Amino acid sequence: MADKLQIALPAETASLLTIRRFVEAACSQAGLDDEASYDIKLAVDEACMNIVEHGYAGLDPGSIVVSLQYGARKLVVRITDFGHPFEPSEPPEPDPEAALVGKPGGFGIYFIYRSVDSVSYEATGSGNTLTLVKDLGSSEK
Amino acid sequence: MQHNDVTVVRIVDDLDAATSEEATAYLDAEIDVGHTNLVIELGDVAYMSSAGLRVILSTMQGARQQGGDLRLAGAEGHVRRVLDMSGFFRFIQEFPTAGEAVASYSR
Repeated sequence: MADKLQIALPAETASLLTIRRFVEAACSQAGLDDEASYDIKLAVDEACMNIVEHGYAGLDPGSIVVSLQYGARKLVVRITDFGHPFEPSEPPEPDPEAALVGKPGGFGIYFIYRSVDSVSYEATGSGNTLTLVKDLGSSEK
Repeated sequence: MQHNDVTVVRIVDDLDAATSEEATAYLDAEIDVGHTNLVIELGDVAYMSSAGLRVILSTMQGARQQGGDLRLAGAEGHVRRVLDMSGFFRFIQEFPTAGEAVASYSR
């Protein structure tokens, strides 16, 4: 796989735009089409948003590390934080009408699963890492 | 922007967790002053996440609670895909242009 691109930022909403720009640049370098690039941007943004909103709740402020590697066949993004583990199991398709009467939640994780081809999560003593893999189609553009 | 009794709000930034609070505050303020027939123009929005969906959902609920409504205009490309994935088009009306969305309130 190609070199790893990595960025580390404070886990705050102001970092989300920078992370998206990082992902955009990396996807462009990897030759992804517009739709695949948006998919990855969305998945990473949703994951980072969860960390910003819940990851360090009640803890000292912490950081998010986003690393990205790609080869001809796939692109792998790893999002690491050092706060509360939060394993994002695949939710059922959200019912937006249920959201009308209840909590409008659940879309973020659903989008992550819809946007990439595999999602895995590991929480260890040295951090929590969400790994997203996007299969790249033909390398012809 | 007011057209008769309909207020068009054009969003030009990315609609993500960082900007959604400001967007919600702006839209809530519109509802508070009685602008309850709303159109959100999305044609200039390059990026939207589930945070943007929350803005749309809460604005819609607020408007409808006051006897008004929220309709969307200009949802295209990736923003449209996100809205489609969420199923929002099942219960929020949307139109290609703000003009058409405004006109729909007169029907």
